Amino acid sequence: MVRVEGVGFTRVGELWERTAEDLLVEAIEQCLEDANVNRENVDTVLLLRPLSPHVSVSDMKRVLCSLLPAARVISVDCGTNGIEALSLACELSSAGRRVLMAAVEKLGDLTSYDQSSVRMRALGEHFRLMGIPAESIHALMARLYLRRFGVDRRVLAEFVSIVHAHAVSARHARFRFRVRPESVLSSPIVSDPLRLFDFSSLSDGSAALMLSDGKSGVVVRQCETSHSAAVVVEDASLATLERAANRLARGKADFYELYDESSILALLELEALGVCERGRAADLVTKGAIRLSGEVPVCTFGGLKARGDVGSANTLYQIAEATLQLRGEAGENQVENARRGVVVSLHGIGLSAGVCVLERV
Amino acid sequence: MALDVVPEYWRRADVYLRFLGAKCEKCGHSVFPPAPVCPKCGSRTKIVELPRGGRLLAWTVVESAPSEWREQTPLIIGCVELDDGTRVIAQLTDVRVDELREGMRVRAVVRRAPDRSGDVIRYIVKFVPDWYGEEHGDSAEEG
Repeated sequence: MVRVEGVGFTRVGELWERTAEDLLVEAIEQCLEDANVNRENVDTVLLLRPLSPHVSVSDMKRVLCSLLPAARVISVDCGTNGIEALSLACELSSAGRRVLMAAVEKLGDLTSYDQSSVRMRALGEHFRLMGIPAESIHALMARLYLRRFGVDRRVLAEFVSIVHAHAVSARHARFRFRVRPESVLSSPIVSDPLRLFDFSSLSDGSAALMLSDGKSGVVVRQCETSHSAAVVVEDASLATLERAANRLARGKADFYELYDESSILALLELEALGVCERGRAADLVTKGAIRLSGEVPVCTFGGLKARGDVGSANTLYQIAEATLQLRGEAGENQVENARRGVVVSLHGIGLSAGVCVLERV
Repeated sequence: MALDVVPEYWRRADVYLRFLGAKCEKCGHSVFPPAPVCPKCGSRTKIVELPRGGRLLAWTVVESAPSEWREQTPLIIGCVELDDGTRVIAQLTDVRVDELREGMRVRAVVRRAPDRSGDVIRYIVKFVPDWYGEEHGDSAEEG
């Protein structure tokens, strides 16, 4: 049974004064301490390839080789769908290896235009040549979804308001302040109907996880991934995530760490996971079911939107946050009696999707 | 693929110049841009010339674009259903936002992409309103 033995992560933000190497070392040292594992006892390191064009994998590998001398260091290119790498880590752990997963990003160094460019690249070169920004895909999905199910635009703003409230007490979050739905609705338009506050902000940060086939720690019960060759907007759904989620063993989760790169994606994810019927995620938002005290708490430390979007490191942050929940160490963000959590990862707005179930045993 | 690289763009230029897609030899599903394997059923596809006419399903106006397209903002991005059922996402041009209507006829045209490297001129597909298409054939002569 593969378990998360330890977690480590830095604060998320525009960390101008910190280098990528600094951040990576901080996250890994924290993880080693949390897992109570000596650095000589790590067998394999999976370094998730950063999205940031200014972070060199070779430089990071040099640091890792010095810090973890006994480990074999492998870089994994899975974009922002870290659950692909988690599946690999679980296979290695099942075979008896102690695996450290690590990721670091310096996306806060980029201008907003270059950040948008990074997001567009995730869709593929055709989209870049054709000038189809990723934000426009989110917006088309939002427009079609709102129209098809007669959902009020304000619901998306309410989602943002709720996850920001979760980040207020999250010490590592980038945006630790409340946002009223009215502020979301009056923020600058990015791609109508979506506005600036509907999107996550690409940030700096680093996170690490220690996995092993041991006896203590949170259990990684199941990991599933799915891929698509085409970006499909007209159905206003996430078919890849739905396919991955359909392979999960049945059972309700106590909380969901969603991949809320935009407000609309979060709603589509709840539906793809089968938490509610198609077109009904808005009800969960308006009745407050997604709050920490609700029936289906989501993004318990603010999610990508308010904790900050750390690109390739997002999944590791999500799993680390879920681990804290399942250990009962989430402080003011604790979900009561959390025994089972679900983490969702997406790359290229669902071109690749991953979902994993973590449990306290 | 990296379309910044001249040979790679050259190999794929016909996709944009002739508006080529791929049609599944088994289930008939067609896609743009072409893919060697059908995204729906996994069978092999064949290259086909796509119909240029279609209907606008939805659109959005992008006010804050990536650096490569910053000078062209605002961008209008539309989801179009071609006459053979293929769905295409592309920019709309030669139209004001207040003229757009759900279901309006549009047609594919070839337009020059913004210069990025200066080493080769790249062309892409955009859609324009088909004001004088089959549904407005009579009014074409009146301008």
